[in-house]
Amino acid sequence: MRAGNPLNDAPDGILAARAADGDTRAFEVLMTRHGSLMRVYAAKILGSTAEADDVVQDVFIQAWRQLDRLADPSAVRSWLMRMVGNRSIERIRRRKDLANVDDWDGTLASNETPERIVEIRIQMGELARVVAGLPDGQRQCWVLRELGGVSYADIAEELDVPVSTVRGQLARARRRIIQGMEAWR
Amino acid sequence: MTPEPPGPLESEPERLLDGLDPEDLDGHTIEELGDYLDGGRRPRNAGIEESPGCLIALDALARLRAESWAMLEGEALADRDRDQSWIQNVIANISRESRPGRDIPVGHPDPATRLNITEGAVRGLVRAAGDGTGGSLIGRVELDGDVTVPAEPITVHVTASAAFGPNLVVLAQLIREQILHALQTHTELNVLAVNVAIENVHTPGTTEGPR
Amino acid sequence: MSDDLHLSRLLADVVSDVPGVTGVYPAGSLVRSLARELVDAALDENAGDARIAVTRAPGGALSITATIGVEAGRPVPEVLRAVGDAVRAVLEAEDSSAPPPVIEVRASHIDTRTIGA
Repeated sequence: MRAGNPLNDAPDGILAARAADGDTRAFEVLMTRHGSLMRVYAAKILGSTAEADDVVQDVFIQAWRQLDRLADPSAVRSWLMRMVGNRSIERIRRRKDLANVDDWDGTLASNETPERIVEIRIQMGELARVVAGLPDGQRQCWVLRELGGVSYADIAEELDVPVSTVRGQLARARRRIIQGMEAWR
Repeated sequence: MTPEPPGPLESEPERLLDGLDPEDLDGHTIEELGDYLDGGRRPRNAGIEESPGCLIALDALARLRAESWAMLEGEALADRDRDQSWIQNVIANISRESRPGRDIPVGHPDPATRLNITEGAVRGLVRAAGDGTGGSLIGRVELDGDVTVPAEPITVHVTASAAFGPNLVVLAQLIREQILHALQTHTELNVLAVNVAIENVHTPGTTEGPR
Repeated sequence: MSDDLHLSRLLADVVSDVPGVTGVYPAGSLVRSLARELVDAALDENAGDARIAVTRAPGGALSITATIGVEAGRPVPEVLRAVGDAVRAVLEAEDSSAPPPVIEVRASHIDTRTIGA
């Protein structure tokens, strides 16, 4: 983007309305503005950054086609985040089908190599480290609820588990995180 | 509300945490407090609000939430330094031609020659005409009325985001004139009125806050 | 009939040359209208280049559809009329005895780089 391009400073609602009409430059600004948040959010759900890029690109391609159906253009950011949540969960489900993971609750951040786990622990803040260390199920529920603002019912539907399981996972995640943070303090 | 009996996945032998069990929370559960916090602590639950254990836990949960969001935003900031070439990948994948919309007729003496401009093209025209006037940006463009019927009265509605500074009434009028001129030059629409709603005033460097 | 493909290409050239036309886009119904020809001409590497839709009604009446981009340096209605007239001139030169063809021209994009404050 050229410096001083007024599109860079435009509010989300204006950009989304223009992009809905086919303005790719406006869409580019939206991607630059929200892409990073979407990527780190996806990485938290997926447990790694490996597929986060793919998820974000897929979401933007889908968003381009559906932007004109967005009733409130100014809500585009939460709309995009919502799609990232859905897509990330889809990926996890596909992964589970392929890998035949037995214990959804028991697998612990299984996508990272030991070296990478150490790297994460050094680089990330304490909270991020604790979140990364949660079992997959707890982490996914927590990220979707706390960061994505997704309802219990929707999380349950996406993960294909009962709502009571979501509540349980969430409660345990919160406890672990508070415990982890308290210990550090 | 009595807590549900634990299901098979919830009865894993986990070390109990001080301060977060129902006995510390006057019979409430962390789940319940989480929901209560999500609801903005409304309607007020006296049992929770008058329990010191619950208040401490609520406080911890609220701090955790704020910190969680800050964590994500912080990571997003660091992520910006990464290679952003993925953006061009997406651009390459999406088609420039969006919904054409309705056909807007242009006259020709020969009835067997049918000439039209697409609504999409006209919206682009309106946007280009309004953009830049006094530093503003056109957002939504709507052509209200049956544009497919020649000489049908049409009202054009646009939203605009203006740069902070210029007199907004004067600006709206300038935008209106630019748009009207473009439509009169390039279409045969019978434009009754052009409504310009200045929706946002932006200053350079303004970005959206957290959700 | 590859005559229609030839005609489509000829018309595309003629239309592109009209002042104010920035491009000729494949019409949405392009593939359907020339589907038979394209299937027959599957091995012809330029078969996909038929941007102007040429369809023939059972009675032989031609229907031409062109989707174009125009630049805003010239009033768009003028450009559209010029394109319609140019196409008709070509068709009459090709076969003046045929029933009058229906010509449809649609501007789907206006290049506005000459506009704006």
